[in-house]
Amino acid sequence: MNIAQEIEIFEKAETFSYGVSTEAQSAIEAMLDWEEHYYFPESRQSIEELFYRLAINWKNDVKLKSSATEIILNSFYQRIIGMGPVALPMILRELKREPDHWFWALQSISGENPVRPQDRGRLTEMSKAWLKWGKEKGYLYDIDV
Amino acid sequence: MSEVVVISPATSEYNCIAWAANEDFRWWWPIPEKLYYWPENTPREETLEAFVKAFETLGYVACDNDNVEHGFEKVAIYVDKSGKPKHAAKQLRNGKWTSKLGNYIDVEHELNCLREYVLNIDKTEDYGTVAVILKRELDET
Repeated sequence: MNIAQEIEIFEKAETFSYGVSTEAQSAIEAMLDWEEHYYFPESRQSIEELFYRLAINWKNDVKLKSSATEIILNSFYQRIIGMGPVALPMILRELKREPDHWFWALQSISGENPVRPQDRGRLTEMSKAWLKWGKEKGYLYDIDV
Repeated sequence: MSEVVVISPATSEYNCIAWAANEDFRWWWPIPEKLYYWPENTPREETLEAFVKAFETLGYVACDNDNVEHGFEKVAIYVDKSGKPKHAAKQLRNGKWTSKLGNYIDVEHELNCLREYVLNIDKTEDYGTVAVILKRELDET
């Protein structure tokens, strides 16, 4: 499934969210979930499609969260960590596009942490440190950081 | 529902704890792995006591009311049903409160109407209720 299709599904879910009971909302979400998995099973998705689907779902889930713990324990995020080293180039490209809470995933997968102690919590500085690391490791050979 | 006013665009540069601590450039959260900022010599644990200690490093002390007090600024810490900290807000001089909502926007609101506002945006996101009010003398310099 591509990003446009992902967005369409979210928009459908948003549209259906108003003026219905909690039970009906749950049924709609279950139906959309079934529809998504029926038409776009993970076995037919490329690694990139799977990564971006998980990333979009994660970002949507954690938008309002201030708890870093809840952000990194999110199930979509954990599945990205579970993808292992193959996810590193895609995570780094996402980080290049927009600083976000990818640091725990990067550290979990790589076993490294290039962020200086004084930059903890500074997403822009943390992103720069990881992009420099990615460039040095050859994960971002085709883009400037 | 009381009016909630959006006062800044969405940004992921800081979270509610930082915002309540008058910072807008980093995330505060006490995860043990030290990925995010947390004051030195303060327990890196998600308890109300640890969050109170974090604000005590900034000069805050316990307070028994949420009224505007001349010469003081106040913060409120919200917890969920299990007592785990979920959110923090800071008081404005007009008596209203301001909050950063996760990776999203800053808002101005009444102290106890934030939970309903957030649930209306995302029915799975519960900011909990106010557990503690802290205050410190305003630095007027």
